[in-house]
Amino acid sequence: MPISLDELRRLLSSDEPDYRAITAAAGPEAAEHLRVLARDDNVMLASKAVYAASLLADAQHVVDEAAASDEPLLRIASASALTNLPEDARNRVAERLIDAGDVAVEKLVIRSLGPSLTPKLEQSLGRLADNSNSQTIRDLSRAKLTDR
Amino acid sequence: MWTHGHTMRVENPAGLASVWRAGFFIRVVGRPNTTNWFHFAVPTSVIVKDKRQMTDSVMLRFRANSTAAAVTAVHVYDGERRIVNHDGLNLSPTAFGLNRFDVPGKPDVLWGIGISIGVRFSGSTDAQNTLEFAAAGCDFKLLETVRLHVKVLTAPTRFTIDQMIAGMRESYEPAGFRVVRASDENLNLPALNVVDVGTCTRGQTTEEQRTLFGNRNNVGTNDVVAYFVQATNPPLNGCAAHPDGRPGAVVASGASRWTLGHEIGHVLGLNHVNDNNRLMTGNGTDNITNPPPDLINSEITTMRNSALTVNP
Ligand SMILES: [Zn+2]
Repeated sequence: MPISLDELRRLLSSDEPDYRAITAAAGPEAAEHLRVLARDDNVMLASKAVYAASLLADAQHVVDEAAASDEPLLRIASASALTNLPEDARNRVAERLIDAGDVAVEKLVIRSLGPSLTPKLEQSLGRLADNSNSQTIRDLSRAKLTDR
Repeated sequence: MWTHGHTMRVENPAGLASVWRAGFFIRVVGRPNTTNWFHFAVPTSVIVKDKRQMTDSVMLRFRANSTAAAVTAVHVYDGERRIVNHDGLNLSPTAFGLNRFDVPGKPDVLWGIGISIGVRFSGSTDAQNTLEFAAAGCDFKLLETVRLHVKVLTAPTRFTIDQMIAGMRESYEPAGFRVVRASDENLNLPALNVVDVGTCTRGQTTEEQRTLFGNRNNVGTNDVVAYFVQATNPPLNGCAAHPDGRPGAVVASGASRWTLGHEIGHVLGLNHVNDNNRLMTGNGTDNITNPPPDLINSEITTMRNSALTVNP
């Protein structure tokens, strides 16, 4: 049975949603619902919808859109979601997020990256490795550039 | 503990047309269009059988001759510290009854309770502007206590921490539990501001959770800590998974007013239920239907059995 918008809203409203169970129960119709929920006024719910979208093959544009949001929690959710995206899509969204100047976002982005980096990501990592105010980010960036 | 109406002191005697102390009550007649403050000192046994008492609520027994004579505020003091103010009241009961005023947080009593009553006289005749006070009192109790420490990486955005603690108390206090806000600390840990919580499963923690929960300055063994973060990875309202011996939970900046109480409920051993009238609903505390959300008897038993609710 296809999942309804209200049902998806209810499942994501849980204080601790079980993303794997939710996306396992969702069919292709869920992509459009998640796009709607990712624009909800309740930014907590919207951020959960962004993350859930990354677990569905045909909803990844929701993650892409959130990366460009003015709302910090949506950019964070987008960064959290990167690890679930295929490499091409991940690198594309990562390029948008990595220069945001937010240590928490940078941490999530860098950790999500695989071995093949775009030139832009390499450049950003090099800059963070040298100049980030955060020891954690400098270390993560260096490790990512050396470990490839 | 009660005191008789006789003992009432008037802050501004010039605002009164008359005061009469009889065996049964004190009768005060206010001058037209005046306000005033009346004060009761409640005899206070701060320690009984070696146990410090907690302030549960105060009570007032009074009546008004007309709606033009009204109690508009009840403030409660412990020594020089005001512990609650109930403002915006408009109470003019025609017969003597018992009005009770809650003291949220049920604070330890330290010095002695004072009750200050704000009043308004808006009638034109003495008869209309008459109030009679028979007694004032304070209930002291001994309650099982959760000692909660607040550690802030990022302040929440949808509700304040004060609102979240008030919400937690609205669920916990009727269930017989006191929530003491034992300390506040800001933590400057930007890399943990979005903290990995993995699958957020009881007994399992990520390296970042273990690092974050290592911050237990001023926290006793059986005290719980709420870490307020910007977000969790993946996004949750909060997560109660914690390392052994470091009880606490994280609460995300987008959490609901009830998430704090819900997460500490998990820390005290509670599981999800499918009922949006209860604090432990698994359907999201943003969807609470009949606030404040309830704790039921079996949950109260579980909480009492937790080492983290401390018997006075
Ligand atoms: Zn929960």
